[in-house]
Amino acid sequence: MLNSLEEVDEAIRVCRACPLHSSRRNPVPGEGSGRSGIMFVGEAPGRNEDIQGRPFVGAAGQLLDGLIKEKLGLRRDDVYITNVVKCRPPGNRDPEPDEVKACWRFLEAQIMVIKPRMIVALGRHATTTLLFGPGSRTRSIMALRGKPRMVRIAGRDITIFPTLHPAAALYNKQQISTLEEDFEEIARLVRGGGRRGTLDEFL
Amino acid sequence: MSFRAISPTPEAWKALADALAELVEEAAFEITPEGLTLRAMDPSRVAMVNLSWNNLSFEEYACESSMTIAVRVDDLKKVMKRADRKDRIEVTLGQGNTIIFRFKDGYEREFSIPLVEVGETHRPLPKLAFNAQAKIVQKALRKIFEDIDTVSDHVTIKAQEGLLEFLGRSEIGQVQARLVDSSPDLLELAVKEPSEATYSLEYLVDFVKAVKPAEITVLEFSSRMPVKLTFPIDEHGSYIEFYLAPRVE
Repeated sequence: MLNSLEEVDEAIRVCRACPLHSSRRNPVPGEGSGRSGIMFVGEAPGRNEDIQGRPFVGAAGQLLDGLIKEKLGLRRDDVYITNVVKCRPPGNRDPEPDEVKACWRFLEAQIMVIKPRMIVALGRHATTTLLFGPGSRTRSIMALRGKPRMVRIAGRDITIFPTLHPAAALYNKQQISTLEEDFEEIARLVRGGGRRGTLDEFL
Repeated sequence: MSFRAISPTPEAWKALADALAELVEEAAFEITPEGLTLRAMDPSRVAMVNLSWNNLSFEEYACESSMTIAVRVDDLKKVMKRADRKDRIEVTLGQGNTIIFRFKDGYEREFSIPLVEVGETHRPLPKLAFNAQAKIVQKALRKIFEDIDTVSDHVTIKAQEGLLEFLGRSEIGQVQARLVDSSPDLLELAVKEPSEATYSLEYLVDFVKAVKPAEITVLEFSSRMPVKLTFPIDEHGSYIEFYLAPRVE
């Protein structure tokens, strides 16, 4: 049982459950306080993340930080940012279903510690894993994005908000406005909840 | 997997579709030999619907084994819009992961809509002990919420011995509605402790409008606690419940 983010970080550091540990430079567990109740989950660390051991630090990270600040009015440290897979797949390939399954317990433990009311799933891998379970067949993100759904994870009802992966939006500038639209919807949901109170504390 | 349920009128299905449309995009029904249940919470986690529709409420009901199915609420609403007041509705599961609604009044119409993947499980209900409980004529409650909606986007409900008050206030004015013990619209009032709480009208107005066919509403609340509205569907104990979190002042 992993009871704190420090314990989760340490368990990831010593994990040998899949082959990714042997090719990575650094594990990338995740960072942030999560005090806003919002968690961001991406696919897997890329080159920069692997070097620094921190999630979303490259150009995609800058885009994400900007959206968090401008659309949600939050700082990066107010949210918790992580990935489905905590070690970089070689050559930035997609994570294999077995790798996602092996890493799931860490994401579950992070969710148990942070207790988010909303998880923003960035891209199709995070969306599929969070909505349909680890190792599920990946589906088109365009069909799922922008539609929040409630899912029970680690014994908690959590709103999953699927959106595009910021890295994908960097390759296709049109998708940046889609990403912005989604963040405006996230802001509406989060502010709505805050102003009116939620049923969470009574469940 | 076999399921068949016939309702003599479409009212409850229509009310359910309208009520869900205010809250969620997809709805998951638990179907058991005892009846249909559904729980859905809106994505901002402010409101929740709980349906308990037991098999006695149906003209015919058959379910061999328990299952969970989910539909897009928009699809359900579109189909229910096509139902006339006198239609009998027969619901079955179709080939290729679909649900079929058959309307019968004179000629027969059949609507088949796709089932979607179940994204949610049977969630727990809020754990609440209420200090005020009122049984109100549904039409009166609907009018009160609509009255208050003319000036404010929220309503403060106050209950004390013999009196239930609804207040709305904003820069454009104030609306006050009172139900006293002798009001014909207030059928029962039980107050354990004087209570006062404020709720957003955004959901309340739409929800109360959606469940129009219910004649009576049971309103329960406590200070700084969610409000619960119960709408009996019929005399067989089936109901739709609605929970709404209080506003944080």
